Amino acid sequence: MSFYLPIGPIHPALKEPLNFIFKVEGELVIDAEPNIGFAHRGIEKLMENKTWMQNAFLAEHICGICSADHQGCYTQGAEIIYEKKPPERGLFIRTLVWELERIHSHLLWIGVAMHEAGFDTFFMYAWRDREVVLDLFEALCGRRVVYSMSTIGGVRRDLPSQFAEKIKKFVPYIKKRMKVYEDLALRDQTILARFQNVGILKKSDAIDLGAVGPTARGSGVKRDVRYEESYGAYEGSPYRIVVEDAGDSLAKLLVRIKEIVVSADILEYLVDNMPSGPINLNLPPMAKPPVNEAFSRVEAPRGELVYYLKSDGNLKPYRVKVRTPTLANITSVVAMVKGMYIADIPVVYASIDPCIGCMDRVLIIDTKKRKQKIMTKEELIHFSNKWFKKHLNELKEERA
Amino acid sequence: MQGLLEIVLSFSVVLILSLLLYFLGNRKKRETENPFASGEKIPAMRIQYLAPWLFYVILFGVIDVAFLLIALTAGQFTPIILVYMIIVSLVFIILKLK
Amino acid sequence: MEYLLYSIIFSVSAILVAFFLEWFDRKVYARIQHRVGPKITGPHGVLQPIADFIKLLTKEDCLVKGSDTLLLDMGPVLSVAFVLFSLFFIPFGYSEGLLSIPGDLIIIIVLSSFVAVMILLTGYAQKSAYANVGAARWAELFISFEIPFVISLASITVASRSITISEIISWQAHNLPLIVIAPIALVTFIFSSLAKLEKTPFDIPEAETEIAAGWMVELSGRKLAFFRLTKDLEYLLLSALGAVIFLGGPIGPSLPGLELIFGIIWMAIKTIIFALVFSILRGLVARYRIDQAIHLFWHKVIPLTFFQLIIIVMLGLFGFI
Repeated sequence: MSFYLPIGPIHPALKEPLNFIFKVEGELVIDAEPNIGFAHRGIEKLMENKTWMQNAFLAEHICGICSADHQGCYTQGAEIIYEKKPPERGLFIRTLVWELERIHSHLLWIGVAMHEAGFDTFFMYAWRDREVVLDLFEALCGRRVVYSMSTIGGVRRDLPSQFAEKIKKFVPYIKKRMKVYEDLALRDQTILARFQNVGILKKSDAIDLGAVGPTARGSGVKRDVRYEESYGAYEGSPYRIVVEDAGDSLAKLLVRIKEIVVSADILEYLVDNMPSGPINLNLPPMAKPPVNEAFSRVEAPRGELVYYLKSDGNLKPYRVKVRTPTLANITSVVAMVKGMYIADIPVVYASIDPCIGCMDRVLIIDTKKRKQKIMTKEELIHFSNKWFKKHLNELKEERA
Repeated sequence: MQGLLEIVLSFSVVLILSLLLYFLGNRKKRETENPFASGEKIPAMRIQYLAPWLFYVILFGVIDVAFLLIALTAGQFTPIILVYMIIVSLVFIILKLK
Repeated sequence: MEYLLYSIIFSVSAILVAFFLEWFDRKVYARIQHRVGPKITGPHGVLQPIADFIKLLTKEDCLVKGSDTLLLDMGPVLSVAFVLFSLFFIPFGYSEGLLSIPGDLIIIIVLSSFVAVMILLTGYAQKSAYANVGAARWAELFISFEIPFVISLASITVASRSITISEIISWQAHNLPLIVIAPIALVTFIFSSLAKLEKTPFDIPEAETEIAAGWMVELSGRKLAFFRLTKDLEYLLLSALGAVIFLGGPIGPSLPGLELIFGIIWMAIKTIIFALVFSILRGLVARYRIDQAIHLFWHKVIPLTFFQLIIIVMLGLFGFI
């Protein structure tokens, strides 16, 4: 006998609102249906009403965890629009923030995944190590979570004094910790029981479903924007793609642990080869860009992050489109969770490192009628025309 | 070694104590339409599976275990076990009749 | 009359000790995780569990329409009563408990399985998919851990040739503590106790990240308070039972004339040792899946208990014990 088990939007397993309806037979999951759109904030539309410079700070508020990647990806695209190339030192500092953020995000993920598997002690340990990274951020940016480092044409702050020494101290520490984590992940019987052969995503499926980031790399797909595009200061850095072939949740865990080591290597390289010079181009904030469009890609901790920007020569962007890694990965969850047990749902779901705050920008929800629908382009135009006709007088009064 | 009186007395003491604590608590009742369903509107339901059968399984476990202990304790047969067996068999019969 | 007074004092103090053990468990668990744990209520937060209990008692009782109210009222009261009653048989101080009758070990086992049935019925009485899944998981776990639990106690009874707790204690006073003779039974006892207490590797029926709170998802107010009290009392019961049957309970070196005080001290130390083992173990592992837990019990723990039983019987046959 099968029945429907809803998980989310309010559920202890999910830290962010998302709804899955699982068709369950006993303890086995037969089918799953994700419903997204609970955290829609309309940021893309809001971006059209702000200037290019202001949007850099709006972009980083799309996500609290990979904020620097959103900001960096946006500024990278805006630099293409403005046809300016930021100075080397700016690129290096930007990349430094990206890599620190990758470490912090992966540590956060390890903690959350362990919490989902019921291993609260590991969760506390991982987050304790994350505190060290957050302290580094505090020294570097003055903030612990949303950094506001990148701007169009470089970064906003130079490295503080003694920062290179802090990184030099931090790199061996985190490498030592990662060795402990890897040992624990491969030796602890309960972790193996919960992660090994759970939520397997085959290599062909990963390619078909368009999985990105560690989700794809855990299935043996060599896909990494840092390697494909070598943007920022990655060219020449000791970068290597970490790939695990098993495709299960343990492989995804190992990929993330090893990526932290790679990131630590890159940090060391960046600090050693930090060029001197200006950190940004000091663009005037009201500079108007030429008519242009840009497509910017960045490897966020969760996978490939894509920004499409279009300028019509005005102070404000004509269109901003964001494709976040979670949206690319969420379809893989359905493939991974079929045939698993109810107990595996949190682990499998967490294994893609979902970030709903990033993802939800498409759906429209009518809270009064409790209905949700996706508007087509025509409907949207029709709706906006109607809205403007209705509110035209108010707008005129406002302008007057 | 105590008799039946003390057993009855002490069980009534703990029962009265727990009832007292229970009625000390907030007795204001509120009925909700829907159970917790992660924020979704899923109608209240009770899944009719396994529970009666598992009840039998538990009874089996209890009886089985009692027999095992009696068999292994070198013939120290006490009246408590007899009473226990009778109660369990009665529960079994009542369940069957139901 | 005197006995009535004693039993009331004993019940109340047992509840208070159970709250103290919950605080101890939380503190140890927090220290393992580099946290501080309860800190504010009372010295070092020792009154925190009592505060939690009182807070839950004052909350209103929220139920889904059409759920089985009789079962949901009966479950919490009876499970607290059963566990509290089985604590009467545990000797805290003298070598006999407040109640001591022939075959009281079996009574403890039976009462604890009655509590398990109460939990099952409570989960089943709620109208929620989560509670039903939790109840089914609890039942599956119960048939897995109950048998190794009892067989590990059975090997104790075979070694000491008694099913009465006071006689097991006196046997240990004259011979060795049973931990030396039955170390494997100790391991299986700890495993099945962890499952009985729903502590981490086996907190499957109430797995928070999987099925919200499992069989207690719809419980609130005093019902939730009572089930939490039940778990605390069970924690005390199993720690004390382990201390009694494996470490000899209140026996230990003492001064003449001060046997009772020394008995209480020894019993407290031994109970705390078992409680500490449970707490530390729950901090060091991840949660098993239900099928993995059942597999663990039926394929590894139950054979181990039988192995222990055979060893004990052989030792007895050749006259070593």
